[in-house]
Amino acid sequence: MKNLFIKVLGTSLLYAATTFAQSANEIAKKVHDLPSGKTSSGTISVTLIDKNGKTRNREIASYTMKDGTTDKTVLVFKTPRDVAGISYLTYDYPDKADGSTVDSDSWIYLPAMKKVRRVSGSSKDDDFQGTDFTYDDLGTRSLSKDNFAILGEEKVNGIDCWILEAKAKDPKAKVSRRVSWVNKKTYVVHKGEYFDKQNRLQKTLVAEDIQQVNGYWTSLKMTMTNVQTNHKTVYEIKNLKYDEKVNESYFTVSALEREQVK
Amino acid sequence: MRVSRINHFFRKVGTTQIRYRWPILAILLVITVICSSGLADFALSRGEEGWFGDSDEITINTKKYEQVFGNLNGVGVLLVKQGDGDVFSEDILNVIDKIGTRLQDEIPFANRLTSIINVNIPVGNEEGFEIVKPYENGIPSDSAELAKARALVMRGNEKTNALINALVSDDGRETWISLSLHPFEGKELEEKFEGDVEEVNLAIGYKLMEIMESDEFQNKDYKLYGGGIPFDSACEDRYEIPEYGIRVLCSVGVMLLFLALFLRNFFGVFVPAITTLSAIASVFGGMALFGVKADSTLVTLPVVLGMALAVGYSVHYINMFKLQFRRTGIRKESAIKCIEECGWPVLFTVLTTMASFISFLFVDMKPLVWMGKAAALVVLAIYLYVTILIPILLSFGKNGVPDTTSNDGATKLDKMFSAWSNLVYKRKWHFIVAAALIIAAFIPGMFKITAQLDYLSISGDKVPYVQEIKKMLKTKLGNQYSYSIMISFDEEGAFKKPENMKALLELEDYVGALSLTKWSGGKPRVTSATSILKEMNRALNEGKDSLYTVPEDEYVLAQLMELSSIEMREDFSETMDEEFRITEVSVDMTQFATEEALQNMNALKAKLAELFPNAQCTLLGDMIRYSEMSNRIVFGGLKSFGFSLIIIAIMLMFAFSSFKLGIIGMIPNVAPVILVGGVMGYFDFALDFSTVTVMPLVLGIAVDDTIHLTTHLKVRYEECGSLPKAMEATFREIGASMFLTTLILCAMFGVYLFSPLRFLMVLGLLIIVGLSSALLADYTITPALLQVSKPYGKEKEKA
Repeated sequence: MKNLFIKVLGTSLLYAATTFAQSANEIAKKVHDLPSGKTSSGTISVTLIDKNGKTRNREIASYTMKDGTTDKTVLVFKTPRDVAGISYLTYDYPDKADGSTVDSDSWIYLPAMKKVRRVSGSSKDDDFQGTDFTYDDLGTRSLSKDNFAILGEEKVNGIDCWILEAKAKDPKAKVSRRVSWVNKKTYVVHKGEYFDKQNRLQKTLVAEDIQQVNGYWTSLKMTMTNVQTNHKTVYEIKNLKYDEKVNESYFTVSALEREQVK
Repeated sequence: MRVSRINHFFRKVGTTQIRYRWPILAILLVITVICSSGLADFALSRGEEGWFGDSDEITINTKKYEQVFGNLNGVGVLLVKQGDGDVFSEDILNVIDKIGTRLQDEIPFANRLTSIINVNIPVGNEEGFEIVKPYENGIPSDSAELAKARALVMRGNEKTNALINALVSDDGRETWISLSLHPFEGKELEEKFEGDVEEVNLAIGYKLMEIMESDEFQNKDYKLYGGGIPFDSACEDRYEIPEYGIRVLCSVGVMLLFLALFLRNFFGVFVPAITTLSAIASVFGGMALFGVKADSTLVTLPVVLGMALAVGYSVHYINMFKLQFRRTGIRKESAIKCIEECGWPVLFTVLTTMASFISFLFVDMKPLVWMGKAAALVVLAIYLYVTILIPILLSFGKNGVPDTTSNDGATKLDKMFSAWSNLVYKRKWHFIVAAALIIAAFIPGMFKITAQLDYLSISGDKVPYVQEIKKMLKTKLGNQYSYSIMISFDEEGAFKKPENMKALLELEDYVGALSLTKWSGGKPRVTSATSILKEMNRALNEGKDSLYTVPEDEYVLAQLMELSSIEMREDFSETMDEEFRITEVSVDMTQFATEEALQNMNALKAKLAELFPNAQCTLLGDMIRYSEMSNRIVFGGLKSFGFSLIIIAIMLMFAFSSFKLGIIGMIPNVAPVILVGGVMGYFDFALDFSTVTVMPLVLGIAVDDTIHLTTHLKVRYEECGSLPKAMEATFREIGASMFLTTLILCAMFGVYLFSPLRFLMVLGLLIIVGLSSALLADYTITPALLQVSKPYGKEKEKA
C-alpha cells in the first residue's frame, strides 16, 4: 500500500520552470515526483454511492511517515461501528533501478479476532479499501509501466492543463489508458479518464478543493465515478497536517496489536 | 336472420365492386405499397427476453436485481480436456488464458472474467493471509511450478474448496471460463445497438461463437462448449431462423402446387398467390411501421396460416365463379354472383377465425399476444384482399358459352358428395353414435396433457446446437439452467446478524437437497456469499480446514464481512450488496422438467418464508421464467380456448338466429379439439408455446366449414323447404370446396412434419389431426345432427 497523501494527492512547489516546452515523459515524471511532507496525518472520509444514490460512509484515521526510502502508512477505521478498530500497516519500498516495483509489506489487525495478520497479494490495480479507486489511482504508478503522450491542452475550471495520456505497456492491464488533465503550473491532476481493456471509458476522476496545505499542493476531495456501473466514491481528507511530529511507534506491528493508534 | 337477405346485400356490394373495379384496384395498390414499405424495418424478437412485458413482475424483479448485482446474464465457455491429462498443462492453460483474454477484449459489455487463470484465492498460513492469483506471474513452463499452481487451485477437496466442482471439476479435466456482463444500458447500447437489448444479446452470442470457432481453438486435445442466454439466442438465430424460412418457402411451394393442381390455369395460380403475399406483406409491413417486432418462434404461424386460408378463401370464390360461369357464361355476372354467394359465409368464417386468435390476447405472454394480433390481422387482410381482388380480376375477360352437359354445373366429384349426403341421411344415427364413442374414447387423454417448456425436449435431437448442449450436460460441470434467489432486508447490516447468516446456510442445504439442483461430484451447485466468508475465515485462522466455516460470533462475523467487502470487493459484491442487507444465492439445475420445477419452486418459496419471515425473497432466472411461462401457458391456453369457444358459439347463435343451431354448430367443432387433446395426452405431446396455439386455432378454422355448410344449407332450405334436398344440394355445391380447403390447409401445415425442430413437427401433426377430423365431423356429425334436430322448423317442401 502506498503512502496516501504523499503519493496520491501530489503537491508541487516547483512550478516555475514550465515556460519551456516539455515532453510527455517529463511531465509524467514531474507529476510522479511531486514532493510531499515527511509526515502527514488526517482523517480520510470515503463515501460510496451506488447507482440508486444510496450512500455508505467510512472514516479512516491516517498517519504517514518517510523512513529513509520507505513510506510507512497506518490506517485505522473509525466508522462504521463494525469496522471500527480494523487497522492496516503498510511499508512501501521504492521501485528498483530497472523500474520494476518491489512488493510492499502489509499487516492487518482485526479487533474482533484480536490478531495481527500479515497481508499480501493486493496488486496495485486492485481496489483500494473496497472503493472505486485502485491503489494505482491513489498512489504513484511506476513510470516504466506506461507510454506517455500529450494529447493537447485544455482549461479545466479556468486553469491551463496538459492532457496527458498514459498507455499501459502490459496488454493485459485492467486499465489500458489513463488520460489526465495536469495543471501546467503545479503538476496536480485536476481530472482524469480511465479506459478499460476494450478502450471503453470506465472511470472518471474529478479533483476538487485543491489547496496548498503547509506549502504542499493537495486535492482534498476526489470523486471517482465508474461510468460502467454507475458507482461512485468520494474521497475526502479532513484535518490534514504535513510535517508535524507523528509517533514513530505507530508504524509497528505491536502498536496495531495494542490498539495504540486511534 | 334470413341468409337470402344477407346475400342480397352482398350482391349489391359485388355489383358496386365490379362497376368501380379500376379505382378500387388503384386504392388497394396504394395501400399495399405504403404498408409493404414497412417491411424494410421488419425485425424479429428472439430468445426468452421477449416473453415478459416491461410491467411484468418478473421483468421488474430482474431490474431490481440488476440495480444491485449487475447483469443477471453472463456468458461462459466450458473447456473439457480430451484424451489423457487435465487442464493444468502449459498448453491448455495458455488456451484458457487466450480464451479469457479474447472474451474480455471482444465481447460487448464485458465485465469480469473468472477462470482458473485469474481467480482470487485467499490463502492462510501461520503468519497471516494473502489473496493469491495462481498464475499472476504468467503461465510457467516448468513442471514443478505448474504442479505447484495446480495444487493451489485444487487444494483440499470439494467440501473445503469452493472452486472444486464449481469452477474446475474434481478430476481437473473440466473448467469454466466465464464472463459477467455489465447491464445493457448507456452510451454503448444507444450508439452501437440503437437501444436494442436483443441485438446486444445476439451480438454477444455470435462473438462468443466466433471466438470458440476460430482456428486457434480448434484442437482435438480439448472441446469447448458455449453457455449463457446470449449464446442460446445466437444459436437460435443461426439454426432456427433459417429453418423457419425454409418452412415458409415450402408452404409457398405447396400453395402454388395446390392452386395449380385444382384451378389448373395460370390465372388461378397467379391471382391467389399475389393476393396472399400482398396481404401478408401489408400486415407485417404495417406492424413494422408501428415498431412492432415479430416473435421469432411463432413468426411462421400467421404466415403459413394466412397462405392456407387465402388459398381456401380463393378456392371458394373461384369455384363458385366457375360454377356460375359454367351455368351462365357471363363473366361479370358470375363474379357478382360469387360475391353474393360467398361474401357472407367467408366473412363469417373470417370473424370466427379472428375471434379465436384474438383470444390469445388473454394469454399474459408477449409472443402469444403478438401471434394473436398478427394472425387476426393477417386473416382480416387476407379476406379483404381475396374478396376485393379475386372477383375483380375474374371479371376481366371475355364471356363464355354455358356448359350444357350438366344442368347444374356440378362435376363428378360434386355428385359424389351429393350421394354421400344421402348416405348420411339414411344412417344418421349410426354416425352420431360412432362419433360419440370416438369422442368419449379421447376425453380421458385430455386429462393427461402436461406442460413442457424445456426447449431441449421441445426442439428435439435433430438440431446441431441442441445436440451439443445435451453433450455438455453429460459433463461434470456442464449446465444449462440456473436461477437466483434474492433475499432483501430493509434493515442495513441484516446479514451481519448470525441468525440471518445461519438461515442462509440452512437455505443452501435445503436448496442443495431439492430434486432438480445440479450436483457436481458430491457438491450441490449452489453459490452464495458464504463461500467467501468461509475462505476468509480459514485464511485468517492460519488456513485451518476446521475453520472453513462462517463464524457464529456477531462481532467476528460483522468484521469478517466488512473485511471481505474490502479485500475481495469484486467477488463479494457479486453476492452481497454494500449495505449487507441484500444477498443472492445462485443455483444450477440438472435439467428442466416443468411439473417438478414448479414443485421445487413452491417448496423453496415456503422454505424462504419460514427462514426469512422479515425479508423480501425473490426468485429469478431461467428456471423461474420457464416455470412461470409454463404456468401461464397452461392457464393462458385454457383462457384462450374458453374465450374462443364462447365467442364462436355466440357468433353462431347470432348468425343463425338460433340457440339450437349455434349449439349444434359447436358440437362438430369441439369434437376435433377433443381429438387433438386426446392425441396430446395419449402420445405425450405436451403443451408448449407452439402447441398451446393448436386448440383455439383448430376451433377457429374448423368452424369455417360448419359455417359454409349451415349457411348454404339454410339458403337451399329457404329455397326448397326440404332438408334432405337442401343437404344434397349443399354437399354438391360446396362439399368439394370444403374438402379442398381442408386438404390445402393440412398440406401447408404438413410442411412442418418434416422440420428437424420437434415442436414444429408436433404443431403440424396436431393441426392436421384437428383440421382433418373437423372436416370428417362436418361430413358426418354436422349433417346427421341437423337432420335429427331439424333446426329450421317443420319441413314445407316447395314445388
